[in-house]
Amino acid sequence: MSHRHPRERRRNDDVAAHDLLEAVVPFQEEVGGRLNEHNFKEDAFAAGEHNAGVGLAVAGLSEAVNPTGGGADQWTDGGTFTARRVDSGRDWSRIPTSATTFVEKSVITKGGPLWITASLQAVYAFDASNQVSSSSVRKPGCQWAIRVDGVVLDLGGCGEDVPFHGTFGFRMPCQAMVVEGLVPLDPGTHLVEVVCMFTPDGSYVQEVVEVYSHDLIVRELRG
Amino acid sequence: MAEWNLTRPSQGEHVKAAHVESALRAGETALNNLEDSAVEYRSLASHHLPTIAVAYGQEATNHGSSSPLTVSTAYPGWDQNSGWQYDGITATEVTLKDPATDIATSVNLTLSTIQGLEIGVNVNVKEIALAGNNSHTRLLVVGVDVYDGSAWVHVPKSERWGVSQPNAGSGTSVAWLDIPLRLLVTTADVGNITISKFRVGLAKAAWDSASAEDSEVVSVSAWAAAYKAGAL
Repeated sequence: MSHRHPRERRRNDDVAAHDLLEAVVPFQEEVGGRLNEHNFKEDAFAAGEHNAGVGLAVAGLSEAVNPTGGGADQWTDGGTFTARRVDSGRDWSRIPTSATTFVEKSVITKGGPLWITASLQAVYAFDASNQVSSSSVRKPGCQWAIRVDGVVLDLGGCGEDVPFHGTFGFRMPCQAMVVEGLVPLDPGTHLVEVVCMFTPDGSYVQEVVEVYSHDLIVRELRG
Repeated sequence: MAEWNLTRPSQGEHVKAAHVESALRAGETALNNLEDSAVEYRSLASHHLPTIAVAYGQEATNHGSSSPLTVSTAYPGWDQNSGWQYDGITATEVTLKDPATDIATSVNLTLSTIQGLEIGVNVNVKEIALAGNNSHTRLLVVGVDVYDGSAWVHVPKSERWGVSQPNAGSGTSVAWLDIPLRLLVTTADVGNITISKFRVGLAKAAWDSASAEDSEVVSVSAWAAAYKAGAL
């Protein structure tokens, strides 16, 4: 809808009603349509003039978890955070942050794709009851992924062949992890979760993992 | 959709100033009350609209694997805004800039139009527990502070760490691992402050009663960005 007015130049004398209507009514009707790229000049909107949610909307979920306890530079036994444990298993599991809460965020979107980033600190929390004493046993690590509305996205995640411990002393395998991805979604309410699964391994043994400080960032790309 | 309510003069009626005034006023009203639907879907392009980025910053330093940085500072404790190792890596301090001018700027976290400051860090580690004493789990810890214009404020949730490797007990402690970190720093993390820069701290630590040991870092990459964004 590019406007071209006046369509007919008026002579420099009195204007009749008919002339006025002929000049103005098409313009009025077009404005009553929809404005488009022809109606705005380049850089029509300076930074600061548009509403915040025009291009991007953001939601975050995070928690700071203190790992210390044995001294200023000494971490505690992972058994301290039993409420955070994900038990060993071959299925995707939610990550608890307490007895009733998980690393998950519900968002209401307008139809733009979601760009999701999860950053976390994992500790494979062996304790006296599930330590492996044999140095020949290699424990499987975890894959990490983002799950949206119950569907695990193909975001890769990362597995780690968690080191054995016992022969060379007490070890606490740890892993700082980032998983990230983009997913198109219909408008509406969506549940974004961070999930993990112990990777299949021939020498699979019982183990658990705990998530300490973490950040889940959900951005809807609008516009 | 814009609605221009035009009062039309009758045929044959002389046009009076009131008619013109009325027509223009109606047009003015229509243009000043545009709704979302008045603009055609997907009609506005990048050359019409400003960038949504309001601040950014990025630094990276690569020491190389043959001359890595030795991290010998002991972890200062949980939620400490000093006592980390900062010196020797320019990437440990990143100043925020205005993307339009490249001039230093700051991000007011209290603005409802900014949902926070995103920070990303990657630390490439060559070795943890440099002395090779690996009878216990040794750690290299990474943490972030933000600057509020007068003081550094630690972001406790930023703390991440890597561990010495299991085969260290057999004589080597080479780790070759990446410690990644992504944050959305908000007022809930650091209070109602305005951030002009941030820095990356490094420290050594240990699990349980073990003593911490030095580590080696090959490179540090750090970036930050703040966007004009609504709440999702």
